[in-house]
Amino acid sequence: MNDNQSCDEMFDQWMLEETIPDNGFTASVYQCILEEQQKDWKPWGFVLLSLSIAIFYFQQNLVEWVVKGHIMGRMILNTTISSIEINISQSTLVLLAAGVLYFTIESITKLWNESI
Amino acid sequence: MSDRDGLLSAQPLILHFDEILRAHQSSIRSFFRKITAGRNELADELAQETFLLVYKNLQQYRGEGSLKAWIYSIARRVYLNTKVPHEVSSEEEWIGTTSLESDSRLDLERCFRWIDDEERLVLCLSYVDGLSHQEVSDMMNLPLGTVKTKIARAKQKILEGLGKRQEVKP
Repeated sequence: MNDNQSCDEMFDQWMLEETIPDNGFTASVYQCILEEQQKDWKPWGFVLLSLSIAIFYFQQNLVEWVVKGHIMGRMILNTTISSIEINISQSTLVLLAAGVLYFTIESITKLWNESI
Repeated sequence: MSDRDGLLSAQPLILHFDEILRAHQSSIRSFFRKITAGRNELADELAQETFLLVYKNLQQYRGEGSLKAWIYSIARRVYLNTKVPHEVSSEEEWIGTTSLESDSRLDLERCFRWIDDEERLVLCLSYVDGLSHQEVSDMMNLPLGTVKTKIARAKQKILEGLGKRQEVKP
């Protein structure tokens, strides 16, 4: 009976909530959150990249409009437009814009994550 | 934290994550240390996973029930989704050993590993300070009566194991 009682007491004592000091646990949780966010971000980066490529590629009018705008601007400035040769291909523009967009967003995200 | 739940809900909860983490880290880690029967590293990994899920889902907490109960329901899910390795030796083998190294705490931890996952969960949750049996019952999706029976049965199994162990101790 006494043994049972002591076991019972020992069990209750063991089950009581103990106070555990932080010892870097909180920091490790934040590290974990940071890693998770960076992991989560990757697909979004690719989605945005693909979307921007799609938008620029399928809306060729936009590119044309930019080029025309450039030419008009030159006309206004009385520049001889016949000498202007448009060498920049649309695909180069598309890739350039997408790349700039992607790296800008990546940099902002990294800065944001570091600031948390 | 439960008495402050009302106050916390006045602002987006995510802004209070740090406060929540610091207030509950000890309790959750203690819970996992019990439930994994002394595997402290594994316990901390599970606690980390729990707080990661708390962080991700904090906006979805609707304030139904206490925040503590909500956090423990996540801890429960994390535990059930993790394959915790079982004790290698059988109960009979262990009771027969007369290792001088064994002490009461180790004996308890070993007894704890032999009860099944659901009983262990119910038992540990019932000892969490501030959680009622009704909350445990809601969390486990079990009737209140079943919860009470499981607590009693699990405790009895552990005490029986401890009793047998005491009998064979030199």
